[in-house]
Amino acid sequence: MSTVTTADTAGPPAAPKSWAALGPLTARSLKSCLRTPSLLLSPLLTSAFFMIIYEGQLSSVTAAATPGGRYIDVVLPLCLLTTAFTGGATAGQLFVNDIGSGYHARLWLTPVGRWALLAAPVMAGVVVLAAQAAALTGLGLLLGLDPVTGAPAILAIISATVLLGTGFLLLAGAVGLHTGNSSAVGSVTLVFFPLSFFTATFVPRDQLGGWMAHAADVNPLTPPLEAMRGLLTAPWNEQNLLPGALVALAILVTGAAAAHLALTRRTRTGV
Amino acid sequence: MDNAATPSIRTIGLGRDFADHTAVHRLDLEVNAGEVYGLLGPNGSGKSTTVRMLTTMLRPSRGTAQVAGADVARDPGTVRRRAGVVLQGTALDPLMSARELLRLQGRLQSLTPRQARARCTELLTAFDARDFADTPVGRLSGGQRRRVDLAVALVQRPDVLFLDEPTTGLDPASRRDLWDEIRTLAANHGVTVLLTTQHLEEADQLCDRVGILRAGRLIASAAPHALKDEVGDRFLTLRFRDASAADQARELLAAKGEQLHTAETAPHAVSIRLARPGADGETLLTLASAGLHAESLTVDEPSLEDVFLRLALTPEGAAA
Repeated sequence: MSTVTTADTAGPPAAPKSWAALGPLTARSLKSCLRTPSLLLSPLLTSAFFMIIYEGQLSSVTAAATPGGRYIDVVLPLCLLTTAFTGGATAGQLFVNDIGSGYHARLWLTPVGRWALLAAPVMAGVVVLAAQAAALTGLGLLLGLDPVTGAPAILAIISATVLLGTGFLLLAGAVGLHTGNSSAVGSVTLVFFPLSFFTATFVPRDQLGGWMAHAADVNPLTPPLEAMRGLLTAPWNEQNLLPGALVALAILVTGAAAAHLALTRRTRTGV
Repeated sequence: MDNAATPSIRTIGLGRDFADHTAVHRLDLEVNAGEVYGLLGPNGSGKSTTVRMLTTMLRPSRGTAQVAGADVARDPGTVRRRAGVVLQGTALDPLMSARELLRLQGRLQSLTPRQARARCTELLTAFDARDFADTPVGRLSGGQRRRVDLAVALVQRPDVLFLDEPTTGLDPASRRDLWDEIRTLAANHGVTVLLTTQHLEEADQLCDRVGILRAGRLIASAAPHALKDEVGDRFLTLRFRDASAADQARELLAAKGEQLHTAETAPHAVSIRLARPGADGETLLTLASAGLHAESLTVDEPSLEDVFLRLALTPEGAAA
């Protein structure tokens, strides 16, 4: 090992702007995702698999019940919803990986604002989620998706997935930051996954009856699912879209509050 | 910074409580600029908690601490800019390469991309890390990872460097390399180093001063040689040609009030504790005047380990 030179004249650098560090930190989180294929591919492949199976098995039944309707309009939003909360675990898993390797402590020892250290994995998760939603929507197009409003509907449904998923990213990030435990992060998905079956999972909401209709009424995932389906049908109906947007916003606010609490706690108790 | 007037690290009554115990009581400590200071202590004595407080990873429960002139509680951002830290165990993303880690660290320390690239090249060269600069650190040896870890800690050209058991898990050659680097940083670049270690030889070799922590309290702080002189025992061992001569010497010295060391270190050997300066010469004269001549003699100097064992591991209040 040769002698390291320190620039005695330069001294330590000036106080960094945390927003300026956000780019490099997000790029690093994205690289981590690319180097951990399971983070990228598992949510995507799971959703794609179910979309192909559901479409293949149930489209003929639905066609008989509602002549002229396309089953992909029903099943694609469901698969995007599933992707939003399974892909949402990305940020939490990135935190868990960093805490496990000790690199989390190294990052916290830099002068960058800690909000930036939290925001970077979430932003990387948003990019990954957008890519996953775009890929699934592309698969939907191959399976016959043809929204009446065309490209705006496609952009809108991808954006809706990202909006909904950002709340889950923050929730999973908070759990990852709080526990440093991979299983705990996975439990966020486990909470929401069953909920996606107690709603109008395979058929439009108005075709449900009995106790399942009541379950769908109180299920918080029903409004966003209905809103996403509404985006694929013309004209866009404010009555369908607004409740879904409000639920997505509520999840986002809850996720942000949980992330803030986890950050505050970790700062107080130490890394 | 006025090196003489302002210590690089100063703590006054610094302490930290956890739910079920107090890890550090009231620590008063000063480390001067360019000094290498070692914190020694058994497991659970509060070394790592002290480092975590000084590096802003953990908020103190009481007291104040300044690092490079900045208060760790009120101005943690400045502390993080002026202090480099090598944590216990490597703190690196195993999927990233040394080059990526160094460049990112530069950006997080507000270097421009160009400056970060230049600093990265400089450190890779300095630490002989160019050959494995693009290998994910998870695939490097322990010694290589430690070098990358130290290089990352030096990106912002810190005034103060904290090393928490930096050589744990390193082979002897890598350990010596790291010692050389630490010496150079302190001697040539005026970097203040505070290190914790379980290796007493390391502290003896590297540190200008050492502090010994026991149960969260600093029970001694001085240069290693001063602690040895103060606490450690020197022993004179004389070896005679037969058992009879050894027995006569033992009786004579006991009668003179010398403290005989009871453990038999070698056949026909007599060992006494040298309790005062010049005791070795007096002993030889006493024996010679009685016609007793030793075939060989050795003087065992105290080691830092003796000091450590006596101060840190004996029951509280029993230490000299």
